Amino acid sequence: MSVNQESEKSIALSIKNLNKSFAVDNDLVDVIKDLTLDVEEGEFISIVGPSGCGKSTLFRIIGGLDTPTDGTVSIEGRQVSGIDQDISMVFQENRLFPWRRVKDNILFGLDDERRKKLGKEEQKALVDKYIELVDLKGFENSYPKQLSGGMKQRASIARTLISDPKVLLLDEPFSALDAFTRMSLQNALTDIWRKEKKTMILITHDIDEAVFLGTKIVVLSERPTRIKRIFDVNIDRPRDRSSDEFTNLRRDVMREFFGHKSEAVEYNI
Amino acid sequence: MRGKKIILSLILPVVLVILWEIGGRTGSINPSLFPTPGRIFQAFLKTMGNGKLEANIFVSLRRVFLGYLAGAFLGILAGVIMGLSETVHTVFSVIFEVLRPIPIMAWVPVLILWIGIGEPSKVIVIMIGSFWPIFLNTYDGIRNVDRKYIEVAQIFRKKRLQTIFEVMLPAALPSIFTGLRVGIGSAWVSVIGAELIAASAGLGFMISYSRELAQPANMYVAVLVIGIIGYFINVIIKKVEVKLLKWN
Ligand SMILES: Nc1ncnc2c1ncn2[C@@H]1O[C@H](COP(=O)(O)OP(=O)(O)OP(=O)(O)O)[C@@H](O)[C@H]1O
Ligand SMILES: [Mg+2]
Repeated sequence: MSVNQESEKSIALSIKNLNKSFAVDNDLVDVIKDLTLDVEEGEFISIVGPSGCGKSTLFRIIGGLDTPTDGTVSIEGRQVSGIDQDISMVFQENRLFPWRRVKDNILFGLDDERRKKLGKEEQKALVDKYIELVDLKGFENSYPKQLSGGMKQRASIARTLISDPKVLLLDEPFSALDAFTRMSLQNALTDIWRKEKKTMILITHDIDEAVFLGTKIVVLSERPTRIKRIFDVNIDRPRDRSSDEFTNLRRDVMREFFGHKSEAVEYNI
Repeated sequence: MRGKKIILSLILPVVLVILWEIGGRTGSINPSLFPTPGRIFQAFLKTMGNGKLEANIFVSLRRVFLGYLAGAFLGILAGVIMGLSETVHTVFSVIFEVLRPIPIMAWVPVLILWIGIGEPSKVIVIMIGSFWPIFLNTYDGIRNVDRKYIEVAQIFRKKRLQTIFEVMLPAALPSIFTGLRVGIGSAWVSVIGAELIAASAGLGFMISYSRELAQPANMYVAVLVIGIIGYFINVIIKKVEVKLLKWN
């Protein structure tokens, strides 16, 4: 146990035997079944799973917006119940407040305790730092409706980053974007992850995205969802999407994802 | 483009006024029912000249201002509180559902009975008239705030009061403004109604008094001034709305 504690990475997030069912018309629908997952500090976990299998539900439970039927969520060994300072989320839709300018939307993410300690100037400097980080300089005074889809997602990421959580949950943040914008945001997110050294968990429908971003890929099953398989991604960054190791891993994940119907699917691509 | 539109919108009224004037002069329109536009304009200048018109305008506007302010304050307050608390809403629901369909004018004699014929009874009528649309729209606005926005406040651990002021109220603002716009209309209806029934000053009083004295031109002056002031109040509210809701 204690031999290698220095070099061993510590566990940032630990999910143990998580179960969730919803009551629907006097019936219990199981959505998550006995899900257990440890996430090391600084990891980037990509989660892929069939549509409607319970990915967002999993995030809502980790984020404290929903309660599990059974099981626990812990951060650095401390069991969390409800909304926690150390976990924050970028929602599936950007959910920016349309009545706030970009800079005020981002400021909203700043924790109240911290905000009280900072002067107006320091708050502004902090907001500027994140505006720069997500490359939105020049748009701090715009309203969300004046931004493109990709810019809104970046503002939304900045709002979550400024809240300075230890674990960041990203629920399909790029799924509504066109391919080029998505790729450029994937690059931006990689940079942010390296600079900020946060533990990130990303849900995506896009296996390419999962391989490009993740240190690990978790493949979930149909509902009630459980972990089907976890892939380690040992590809050097910046990752080349057309390299053999990339396409091979992508194919393996795809196979796992589609079960054994995958051959047919791949010929179609 | 804009100029063209303005000209297009003015053609019909101008033609009507000219026809009216011609009809009056040739005797095909009864001038004791429809005094000619020229006569009405003269009456306008005369009542302006002796200060009677301004005095009546001032009295009506003052009543509207006070009544609307009170109605808007109470309407927004009640709408927000009931929108936030289902319990408070339930407690008041029966009373509100019974009071709401009562036409504003039905309150005039009741209020005169309670507090006499003075200013307060008129201001209260206006307050009631503007309260309902403002209350209803505020209540709806608060109730329909997207849960998604509230979850954002939760995930960033904002306190309840902060969530109300920074998320729920701004989200409900477009709806509240709809209430304020409908409310000013109904305040204006209420003041004229109350003055027609029981008053010794104001534009409504000017209408009924001119009819009694058989001065139709003065009556039309008051009617037209009511329309024009109502129009400008709307323009002002729209301006404020556009400024405050420019994010929308
Ligand atoms: N509050 C709820 N009450 C009842 N059922 C729910 C509730 N929330 C989610 N569900 C059900 O749980 C299942 C999983 O939903 P969830 O949104 O987590 O899926 P998802 O994997 O995120 O889907 P997608 O890929 O489309 O985003 C769905 O079948 C959904 O209908
Ligand atoms: Mg989802």
